[in-house]
Amino acid sequence: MVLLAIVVTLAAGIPAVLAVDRTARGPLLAGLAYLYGSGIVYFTLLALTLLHVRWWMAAAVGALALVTIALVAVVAMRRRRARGETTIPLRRPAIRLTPLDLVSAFLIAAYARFALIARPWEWDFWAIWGWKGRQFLEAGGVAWKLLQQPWNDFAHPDYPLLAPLNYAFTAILHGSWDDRWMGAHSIAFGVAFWLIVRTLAEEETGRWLGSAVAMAAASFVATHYVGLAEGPLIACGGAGLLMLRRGLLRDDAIAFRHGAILMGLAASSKNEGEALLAAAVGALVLSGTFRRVVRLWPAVAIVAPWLVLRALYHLATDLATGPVSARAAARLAQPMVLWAALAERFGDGWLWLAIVVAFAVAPGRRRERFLAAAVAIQFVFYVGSYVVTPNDLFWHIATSWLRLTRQVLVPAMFAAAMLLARTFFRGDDSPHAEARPDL
Amino acid sequence: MTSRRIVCAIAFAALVIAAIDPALVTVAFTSPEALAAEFVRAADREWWPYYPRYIEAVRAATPPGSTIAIVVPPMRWDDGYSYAYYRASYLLAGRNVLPVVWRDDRVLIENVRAAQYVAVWRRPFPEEHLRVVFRGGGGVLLAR
Repeated sequence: MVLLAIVVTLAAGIPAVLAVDRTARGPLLAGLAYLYGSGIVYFTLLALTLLHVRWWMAAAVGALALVTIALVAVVAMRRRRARGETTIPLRRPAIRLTPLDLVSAFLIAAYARFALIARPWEWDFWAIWGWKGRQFLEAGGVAWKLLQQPWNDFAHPDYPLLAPLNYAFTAILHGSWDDRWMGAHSIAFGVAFWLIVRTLAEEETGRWLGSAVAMAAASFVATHYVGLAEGPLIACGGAGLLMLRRGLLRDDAIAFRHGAILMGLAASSKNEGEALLAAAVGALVLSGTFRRVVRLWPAVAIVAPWLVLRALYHLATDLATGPVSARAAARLAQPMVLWAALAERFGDGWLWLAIVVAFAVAPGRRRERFLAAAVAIQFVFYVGSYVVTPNDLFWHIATSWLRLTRQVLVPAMFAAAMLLARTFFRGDDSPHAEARPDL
Repeated sequence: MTSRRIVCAIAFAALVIAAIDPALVTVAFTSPEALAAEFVRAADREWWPYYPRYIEAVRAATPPGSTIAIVVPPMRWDDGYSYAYYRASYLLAGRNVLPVVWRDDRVLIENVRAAQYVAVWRRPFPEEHLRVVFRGGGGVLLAR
């Protein structure tokens, strides 16, 4: 049944992607479609709750079908309108497989084996993300009163609901809650992200280097914390940053719009996604393209409903509870304590070192300043959360630091790999090489 | 090839190799039985399989919407009560699960009084004025 939910999500996402970019095809279309589809599922179930329609199979599937049909109509209308257009460049290469893709397939298959070996076991799955999906399923909609109960603050009521509502959708199709195969969602998000990385890498550096970059990404496109909202966050946030980068480098309005939508979906997945959206805004400003900030409006429009609902229902954020400034002052008074704790728990050290070395040795660093700035700002947000955390600092760092740094590992690695790869592969570097009309 | 290109080629190769997670490679070559044995019990650790099994029995014996207080041997938050409460809250979704111990280790006797059911696992509990719904799985389910 999880497989059916993934297929339905993918199918719902295809017209949504085509409504944004009617030239999308192949692996890029598939990857984007799953991510967009997860957003459609999220908004459909949220809308049913707001309309006081109980979640039962006919209502959920019917509403999703209506949204999909509406999107298909939009695509068809745009097609008709586009017939009069004379030139629409369609330079979007398909993946040309290499033996290195077998290594990627091997790593993804190994991850799939890991994710499906048992019911999701992570504490944060059954205490937060799965807990909400299961509770909402039982309640027939988002249970606001349950989220407001002080006894349930362990479930972080303020966290966005994209992942729980996708779990609930799977359970609605199944007719009851069964978490045995819920790990498949983590795989699906990872595969979707990998397809996007693979396509973008090949487009920019060619077949072999592109497959090498995708192979490097294969271990980290999916969350190692099975069942957590890291899955959609890594995929949507990572793909969003890569699409924004492409939009900036190629002056591609459609890629930028994909990026904005994906950043909105990342912000609908986790609070760190909201921070990542802010980091992207900061990176646009720092990289001298602040006028494009306004074009991130789709991201704000996507996350806004949740922010409004969160405020309306007074769903508190734990980081903001109690004397925030006093905690921050105390921690900042001992910066070496914080630094030592972060250094002790810093993971994937060789990989981050390789990324730093790439930026140190490769020419043309300005080209990657957007991604570098976004990742750096996000790190500042991570450290900021530790500065103000009401939890024990060492416990908080020990239980989250590696997980957080992996949220932005793929975009950081992609930027580093592109810098290095471009010393052997010189693609068309003209900013308007793929400029297309804003459809 | 310039020396800078050579350095970049080496750095690219190092980046790609460093990005292959050895843990995933290990997973691929570990028997599914060994992996499953570790991860099937990972959610419940030393409480597996008896506590989740008992809570599932509580679920089967209580109607949706009922209020259930959880009483277990550790009556301190960080000594295991938090796990028992959170886990029960997940497994008993659709019921209103109440803790009887809070983060400051305060006993919330008012939650015991407010509950329609008291799920008591592996510890004695006064049963006066309460009806036994079932005994088994190392615990007893009491109802008002």
